[in-house]
Amino acid sequence: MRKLFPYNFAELGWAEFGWIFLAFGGLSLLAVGWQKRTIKALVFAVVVALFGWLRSGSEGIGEGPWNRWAPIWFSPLLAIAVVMLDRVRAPLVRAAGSGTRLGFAWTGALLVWTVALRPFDASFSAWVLTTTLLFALVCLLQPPECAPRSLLGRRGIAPGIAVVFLAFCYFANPAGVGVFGGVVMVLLVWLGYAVNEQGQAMRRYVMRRLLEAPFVIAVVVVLSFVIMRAAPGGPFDKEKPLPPEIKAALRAKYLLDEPLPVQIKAYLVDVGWSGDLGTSMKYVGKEVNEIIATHVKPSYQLGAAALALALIIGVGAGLIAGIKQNSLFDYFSMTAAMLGLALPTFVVGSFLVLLFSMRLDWFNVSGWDDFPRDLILPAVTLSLPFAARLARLTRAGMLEIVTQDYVRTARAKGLSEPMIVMRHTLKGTLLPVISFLGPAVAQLLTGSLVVEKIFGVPGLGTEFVQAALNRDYTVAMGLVVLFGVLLVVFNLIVDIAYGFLDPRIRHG
Amino acid sequence: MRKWRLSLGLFVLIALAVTWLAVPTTADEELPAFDTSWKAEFLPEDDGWKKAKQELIFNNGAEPETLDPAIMTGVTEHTLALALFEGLTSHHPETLEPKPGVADRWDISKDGIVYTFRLRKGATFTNGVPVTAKDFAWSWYRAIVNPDCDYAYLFFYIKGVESVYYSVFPKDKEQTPEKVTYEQFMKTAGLEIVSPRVLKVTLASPCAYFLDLASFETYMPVHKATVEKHGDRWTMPENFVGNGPFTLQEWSARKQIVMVPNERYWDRAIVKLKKITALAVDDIDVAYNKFTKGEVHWIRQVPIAKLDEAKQTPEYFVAPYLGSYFYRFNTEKLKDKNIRKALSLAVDRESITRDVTRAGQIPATWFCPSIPSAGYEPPKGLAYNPDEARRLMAAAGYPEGKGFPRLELLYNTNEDHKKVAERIGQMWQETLGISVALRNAEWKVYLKTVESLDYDIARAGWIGDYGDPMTFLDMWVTGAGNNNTGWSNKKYDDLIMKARFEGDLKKRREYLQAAERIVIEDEFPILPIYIYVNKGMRKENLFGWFETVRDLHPFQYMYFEAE
Repeated sequence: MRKLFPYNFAELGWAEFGWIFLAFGGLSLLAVGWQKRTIKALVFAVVVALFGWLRSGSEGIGEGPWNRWAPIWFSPLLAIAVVMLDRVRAPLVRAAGSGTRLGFAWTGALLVWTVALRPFDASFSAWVLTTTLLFALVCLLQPPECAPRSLLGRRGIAPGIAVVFLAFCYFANPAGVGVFGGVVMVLLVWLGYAVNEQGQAMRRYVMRRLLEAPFVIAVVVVLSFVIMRAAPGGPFDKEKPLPPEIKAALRAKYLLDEPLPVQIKAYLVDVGWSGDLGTSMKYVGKEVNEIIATHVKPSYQLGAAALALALIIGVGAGLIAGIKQNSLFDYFSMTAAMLGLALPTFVVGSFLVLLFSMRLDWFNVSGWDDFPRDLILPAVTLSLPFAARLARLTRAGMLEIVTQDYVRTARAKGLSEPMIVMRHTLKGTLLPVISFLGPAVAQLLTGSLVVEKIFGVPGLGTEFVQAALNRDYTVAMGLVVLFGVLLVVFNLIVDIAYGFLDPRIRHG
Repeated sequence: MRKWRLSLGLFVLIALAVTWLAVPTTADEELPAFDTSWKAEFLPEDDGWKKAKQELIFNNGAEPETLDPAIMTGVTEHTLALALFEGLTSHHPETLEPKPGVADRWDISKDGIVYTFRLRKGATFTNGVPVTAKDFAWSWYRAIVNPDCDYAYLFFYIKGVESVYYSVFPKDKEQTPEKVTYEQFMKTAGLEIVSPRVLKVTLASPCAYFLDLASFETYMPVHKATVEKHGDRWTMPENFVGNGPFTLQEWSARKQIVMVPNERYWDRAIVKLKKITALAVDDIDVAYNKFTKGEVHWIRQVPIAKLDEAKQTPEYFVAPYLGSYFYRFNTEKLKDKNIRKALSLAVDRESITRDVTRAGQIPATWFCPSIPSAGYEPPKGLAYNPDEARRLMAAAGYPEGKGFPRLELLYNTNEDHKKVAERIGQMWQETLGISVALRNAEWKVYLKTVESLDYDIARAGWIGDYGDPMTFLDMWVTGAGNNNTGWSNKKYDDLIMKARFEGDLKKRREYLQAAERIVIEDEFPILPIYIYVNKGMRKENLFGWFETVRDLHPFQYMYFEAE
């Protein structure tokens, strides 16, 4: 019996997703941005040409000439479709009754079409399916004049479906960190779309930031590349030096003999197009993607736990300290925060181990097996400095806000104190906290060397430092890219959240 | 005759005994296998062990770079290889002398050139496929032509291998590398597959430690079909095929490796551990805490701060290690050998090991540790003599160190190296009146600096690859890859060359000792400081585990007695 749904999503590699997301980025931009049709078509033509040019150099998608050259022949089709769709969108939406319904109809039609594509290579068909689904999503986001009014609004459903779908792809393809990035992107679009009641300006801002992101990351990559190569020594310098002939063979294998610009270009093309971060130069046969996939989990488990703790302790203590300024609690918590900032994690961590593991025997000395027991001590250690920062920031924010006119007005209205805090001061207080959280979250998720060492957590922090010390260029670069992406994404989330919290700050 | 024999390494004795008594030139498939009754010594005396939980957890100290025996280099990896693979010979658990492994018998021609190994019946890979002579030949071929293999030179003892290697990896950059197939390799190399169970190895010249090499990880067999099918990923647990007493169950990066007994191992009966967990904790304080809490049964390092505490327990062990801690002189800058000699004579090693390193290291004025299994005792060098040092310095034109340029002492960033360097700098200051600047460098920077001779004096360490002084002494040959001192001595080169081709073990030893004497008594391209020790802790109820000179521990002999 032939399977009804023959697509092997596990075969959908980074290449396809890199493609899809760029296409998606361009399309979304068109969909939400410019009104002028000619500019739209022009930009799209450029994007398509870029795809074609860059893809033609690599292996393409799947087997056979049609599949291999798909990016070339498929892109112009897509371009025409975009322009056509733009013309017929409004009548189509009218005919379908709503954008959502149009999206569903479109998706159904695509499913039929992709089943018809079954003679083609499975991964290719899956690629087409995904692309076109995203395309449908773009459809749904149109037209801007019927932007959703809230996160849970009617149009929110469509991006929601796309998120679920991409999440499914993510689990079908364990190496698909790119898909994860895609999910984040879609979420961002959705967020940016939904947070602003007017929609338009915010969406345009988010799009611009998303389109800028690859360039920011490329700059980070180039800089780190150059700096790392400037450090003396290389991955194949060992205490027992390799015979020169072996070293030459290895250097050739990893392209290290090429001039630096050639290496950088090769790296950017690899990473940008196929998401392939290469193989480790030290751990023979291990792919960087695989190393990241293995170690990212403990890091984000630990990071998320620490973040939650830091938020609860830090924001809680900061708020109370701010409200009850100069009280005993204020003095106590601010002293504690000062300590939390001043004490290095290796002191706190070792102390906690000594007390709770060695003396009281409540926890294992180190290890990462027994959950949630093994999570507690490292999460506490990691969260303390962040909690301290958060407490101070929250308190300072609170002190600033309570003197504002609108708070006085609220008091004059006779509102109760908890009501004033909840309804009026909290949002303003959290602004500095939020801006701190962007980079902090990226930092927490990419691991901490010290805490990982003390508690034996197999996370990314150790990997990063070891890679740098070993001059394991590919691994170190891969982690730089990951960190860059996380930083860009979380900063963007922060900026979007700003719009939520303070209507005066509206991007556009 | 008797005296002569006694002075030999034990493994040579066994080999020679066979040559003397049986005098076969080929290992006939019918001949009796070597006796393995010596293993009885390592069996439990009663059934007490059956009550104990036979699960070993030890800290291996780092994440292994690979589990492919052909490309592994470090002790971390070698430790695991001993569980997962087995070469033609294997190690005696206590002395590490070569004992029958996959080969149950071997014969050595009288001139020490031709080794004929007979593979035992019942030696199979974990997938049930028998290990044959071809598996060895192919595995060796694979290692030799593999650019990731750092130890290909260990095969140069086999006839013809060197030429194959240099055609694949030409020394001359202009020369195009050749692709050598397995068939071509077998035609050139001194390997002959007499039958699936008999492998004949012809050496380029006699090699006193070839049986020892045959147990080395680079010589271990791999399963061809598995390697070819899975490429670099064949060492992942789901693909893994080995032939050792244990097999791979789990590999969690930076966390642990779990191994369970290989049910098809030919000596399955002796394997008593049910599970081995090798942790990759690289923080020695953490490892120590885990040990004291009983979460780990064996750790390979003890933090210096905890030494006094650890020494109080019976679980602490310290044993000489096949490694040497020394300083390199850049002889291109410190040209006068008398100055180098003065610097060496002015160092009181005793006080360094007593007050600074404190773990029982052996203060050494010699470079190569003594290697009983190879019958090698190093010459003793020149003892601490501050007066002579001062005299030499004055004779060289720097009385009281006046006018002597300020030297730089380079070490790789590490607290312990720093302490030693400070102490030695202080000794030079006090004895010779010269001052040195300490300069630390991060590991790779340090390596690069040493390699490019961009230093005055540099800290160094060397761990022997195999149980023979050659692994230490061939370092100082002119232009050797690890020389890095700019030192070159014709007489030294000649002596090492002679030792390499000398079949008579006594003469060979004398050549080596004479060579070492040049380094440590006359020319001083280096300044030896101490011989490493292996220190760590292990639970007292762990039996079949021994402190060995190369820190290798065959797992099949280990078991726990009930406490």
